[in-house]
Amino acid sequence: MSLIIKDLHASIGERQILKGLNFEMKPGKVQAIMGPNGSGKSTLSKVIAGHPDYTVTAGEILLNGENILEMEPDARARAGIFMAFQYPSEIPGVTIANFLRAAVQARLPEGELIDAVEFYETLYAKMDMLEMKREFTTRFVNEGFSGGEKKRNEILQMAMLEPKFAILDETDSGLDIDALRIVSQGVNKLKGPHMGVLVITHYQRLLNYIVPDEVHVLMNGRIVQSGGKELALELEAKGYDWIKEDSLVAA
Amino acid sequence: MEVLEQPITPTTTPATPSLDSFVPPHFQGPSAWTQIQKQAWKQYQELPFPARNDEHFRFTNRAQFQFENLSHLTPVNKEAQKQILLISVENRLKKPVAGRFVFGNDQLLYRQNLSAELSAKGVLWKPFSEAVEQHPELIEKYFMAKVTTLGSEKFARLHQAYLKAGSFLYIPKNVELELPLEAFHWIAEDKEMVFPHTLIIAEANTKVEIIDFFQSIHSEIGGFSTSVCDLHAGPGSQVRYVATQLWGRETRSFQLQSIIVDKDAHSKTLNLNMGGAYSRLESKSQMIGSGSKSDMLSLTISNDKQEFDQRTFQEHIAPNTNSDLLFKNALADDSRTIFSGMIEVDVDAQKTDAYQSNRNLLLSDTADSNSMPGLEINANDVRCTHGSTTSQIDDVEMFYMRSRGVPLPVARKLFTLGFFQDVLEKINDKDLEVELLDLIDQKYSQTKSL
Amino acid sequence: MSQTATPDIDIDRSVGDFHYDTSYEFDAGVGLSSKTVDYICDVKGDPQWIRDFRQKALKIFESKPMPTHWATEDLENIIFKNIRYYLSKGQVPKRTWEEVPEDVKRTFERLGIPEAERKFLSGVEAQFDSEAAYSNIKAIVAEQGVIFVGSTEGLHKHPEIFKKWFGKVIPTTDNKFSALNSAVFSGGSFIYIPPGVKVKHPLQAYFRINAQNFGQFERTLIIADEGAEVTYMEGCTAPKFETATLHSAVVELVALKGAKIQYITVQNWSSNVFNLVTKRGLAMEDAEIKWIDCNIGSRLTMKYPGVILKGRKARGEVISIAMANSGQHQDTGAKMYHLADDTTSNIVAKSIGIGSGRSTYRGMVHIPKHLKGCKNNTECDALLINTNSRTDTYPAIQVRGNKNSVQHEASVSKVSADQIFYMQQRGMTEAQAMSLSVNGFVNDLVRQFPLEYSVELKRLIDMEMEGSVG
Repeated sequence: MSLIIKDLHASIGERQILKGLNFEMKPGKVQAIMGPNGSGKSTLSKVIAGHPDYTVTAGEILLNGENILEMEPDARARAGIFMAFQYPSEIPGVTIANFLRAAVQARLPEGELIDAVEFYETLYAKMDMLEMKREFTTRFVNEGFSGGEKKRNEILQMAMLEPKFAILDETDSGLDIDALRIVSQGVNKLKGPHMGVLVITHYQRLLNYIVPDEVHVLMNGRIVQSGGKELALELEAKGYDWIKEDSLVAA
Repeated sequence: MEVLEQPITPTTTPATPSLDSFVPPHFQGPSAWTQIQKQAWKQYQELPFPARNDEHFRFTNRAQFQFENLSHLTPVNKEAQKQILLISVENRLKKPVAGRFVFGNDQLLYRQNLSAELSAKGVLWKPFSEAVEQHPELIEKYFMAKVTTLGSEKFARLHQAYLKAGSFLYIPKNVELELPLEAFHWIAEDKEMVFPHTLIIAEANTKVEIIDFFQSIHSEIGGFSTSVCDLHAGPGSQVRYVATQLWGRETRSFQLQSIIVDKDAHSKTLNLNMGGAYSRLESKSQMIGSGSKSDMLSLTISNDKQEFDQRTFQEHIAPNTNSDLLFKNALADDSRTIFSGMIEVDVDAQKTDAYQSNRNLLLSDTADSNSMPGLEINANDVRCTHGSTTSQIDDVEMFYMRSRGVPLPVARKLFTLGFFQDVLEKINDKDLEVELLDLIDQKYSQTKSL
Repeated sequence: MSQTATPDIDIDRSVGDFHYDTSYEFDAGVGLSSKTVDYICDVKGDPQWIRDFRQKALKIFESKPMPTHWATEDLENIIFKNIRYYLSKGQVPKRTWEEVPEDVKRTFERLGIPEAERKFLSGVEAQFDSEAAYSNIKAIVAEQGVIFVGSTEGLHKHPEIFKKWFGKVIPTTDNKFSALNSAVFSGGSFIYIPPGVKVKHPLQAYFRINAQNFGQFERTLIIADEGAEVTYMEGCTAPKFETATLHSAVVELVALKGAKIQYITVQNWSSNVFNLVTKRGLAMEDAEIKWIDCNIGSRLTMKYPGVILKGRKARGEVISIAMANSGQHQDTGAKMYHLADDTTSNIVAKSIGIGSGRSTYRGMVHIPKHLKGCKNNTECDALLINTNSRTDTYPAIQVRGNKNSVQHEASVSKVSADQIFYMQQRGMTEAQAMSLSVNGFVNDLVRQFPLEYSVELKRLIDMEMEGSVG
């Protein structure tokens, strides 16, 4: 099981954002990508998920050796890629239960119907784990949710869909400390040898709760520095500027 | 219109066996009723066909008005009867109702009468032709007493002249019905015309729900229907009326609704519009008593070359009244919808709270939606708003769903069904909600382009 | 409320309500026939094609019924045979105020036109009944190649530009009153802005009706060539006569690629004027046309400025304020025809009903099939001051295809009692509070007017509000 990104170049409109990015997501590991605003963090997660606004101009993304760039977003998701959105979309009129059923159903072989009883058992178990109330399932997806509820809903979906690689895009944005703690606990409960987790964040704060095995720095569309979790603390203390100088020297 | 111009001639209805072995009597009618019909026929003939520049028919594609070679009261053959009763009765045994009528080609095929208990309380649930004979005083007082149409006056008179089949419901004061009443009106023959009527008289502090189903024996069948629902919600009553329109694809229909809401009464109407080639709905609510409220809801899913022509009117006559209208249309293929709504607040209707909303979801590049939400406000201490939006499936939501592995066609369908959800929830009847959602789902699934 | 009216207010409805006796050199007489049209052609020395155009228009006017199947029946009170269709003291406008005949000059001085010209305008045209008495453009603007003349002069001196666009945005057959205007038009402006020229200060026209039983039919054509920009303002007044007066203008705007035209109207006709005006602009690729339309005066106004969005990324906007006092009906609105991809339009209409006044909004948004990226947003809000005030809203929205989006919202409300109480508690009279509230209601729109006009507007609103609280 592997997800390897090779020499990825991507742009939105005329603007080149990723400029030859190389990265490998590893099963069983929690990896963090940090970087200043505009470095290409969100672009990376959206390109992996297949957002139509972005054009990949060069490079490949290999999932178990197979290039996924030609795959539709839903096919990528079914192949095991999950992205927790920074700004999850609202879907009026569609309940969380119905939405998740459709998502789980889509993963079953053609002609096989979802077992409703089993589905709800699993759903409720996961919700208990994430300390979520049952009424939550009857609400429309993200409609009228607080910032914390939206992010918790993202983690619930991750729990239900059991991805091989999960990318958390700025999951800490808009969360207070309590919500941050609950979301992080959820991720920590779900992580394990079967899943690689990539945490994309601007601040070190989230990494106090979801402790990474590796930290990578993304700048100007490339990974410019890699290290252990102490690298995050160093960035927190010194900011990003010293890396710029450093990486220029290295270049 | 040639056939329709013929004078009414008494028709004989052959004996038709039904589950209850009920045979409707040959309908002659008392002379007072015959007079009403004759008068209506005269008015029908005198009234002009809607003129080309008639604002009530703005945007209507008049090429849809095809009414040739129609027949009336064609006997329903055994095969058709069997099919009709299977769908309207046998398949619905699970659903308890207080009463049910089934009409085919305007002839009564089946009746489930009220329980002895309800009858003892004075509730009347009769086929219209019986009510004409047995309750002339109620007919005289309420029958199309205030039916003010929104353009289709001529068709209202035609209905009155031909009227034979329908439901008559009278609820004396303080009686509440726990179970709904159902009436089915079937077109069982190609090019058949029908004139279904629903007269609801709910006296003070009553509660009732009534559901009409308009269906054709085959989905491809043609025909012509002019139906009228005449709803009187007495003081403090709660009346819910649902019309499920599932006519065959070649059917033309005019569906006229008059809703009169008295003091502190609450009326809720829902129209589900699915079938027909040209389907015109005219729905008018009149708030005549202080504290009255009318909720007007409609769901339409159109495909192919279907045209749904919807004209609504919320008339606030008394002060302190409330109305809330929500019409939602999802349009596929080359289909068209026309929504023309009006909130009218009379000079004395201070403290009116009125809302009118038309939402159109376009699912194809050639679908055509026309929206004319109107206001005429003659009092100043009011809160009146209307809104109209025309939009499409949201790309951001599509990406979000797909990123969860939901294939695009499924995501689009979820989105479209979700579009109707708020209306369905407003009817506050879980079973009905499921039944209607299922019908919408079927229609969506049958739309090949989606 | 009298204590709230600024004592030195000199801009209000009554400011136009005066009349000096004037003798006219040219008078087409009373009533309308093909002879009237010939008379106008003869006086103006029109070329044959204009004569033909006018005569054809007259036939169209006569053949069209009054649009009372949707419009107010008050239209039936216009007696066409009692109207005078052409009155002037001469056809050539003067270039300096000194040359303008004394009685006419006095009129415009009293209305403050020469002063405004000196202060903040690039050019002024002042029309007195059928013809402009004065027309001038500042030298610095003229040197850039800007043409700003009356419609007759435009037609005679710049036929190559005039003929290309005249009657193309609003065909004669558009409606009964555009046909009437096409038959008897006189006066109005012809403006051409060469490519890339951005006219810094507004050009202004002032329309004055002086004579009784008169019909004013000015015709304006503004062409902004590629990348050009211009703001045009018009104002109007008339004395209040016993009998009805008719004003029926046609205004055509053409914004070529990348051009911008802003057209501002402050309509303050006296309350005996039928004001039936057709205004429409054509916006080519990336061009922008903005109508800012304020209707305070007249007995009946029917006016729905429109934009035909013909080029990709063209933008159209209508900002509209209407005040209807007792005896008035402001029937206004907007039309947006989207004919190219990625075109956007925006309509904001606010109306205020006072006394038994009636305000009506009519709108049309049209998006045909196979277009994409078109957007329209419409908001219309009505404020009703008195129990017998009336407002209507009649929008029509036609959208085909699933690649465009349209939104329409409208609301009707009264001034919040809490708000009034709050202001009263701070020491304001109820009338002052009401006036402030109404000004607040239209404030976001008034701010879009040039400063000089927004000050005038606020005062006009205060004047209209006077006596509305009993």
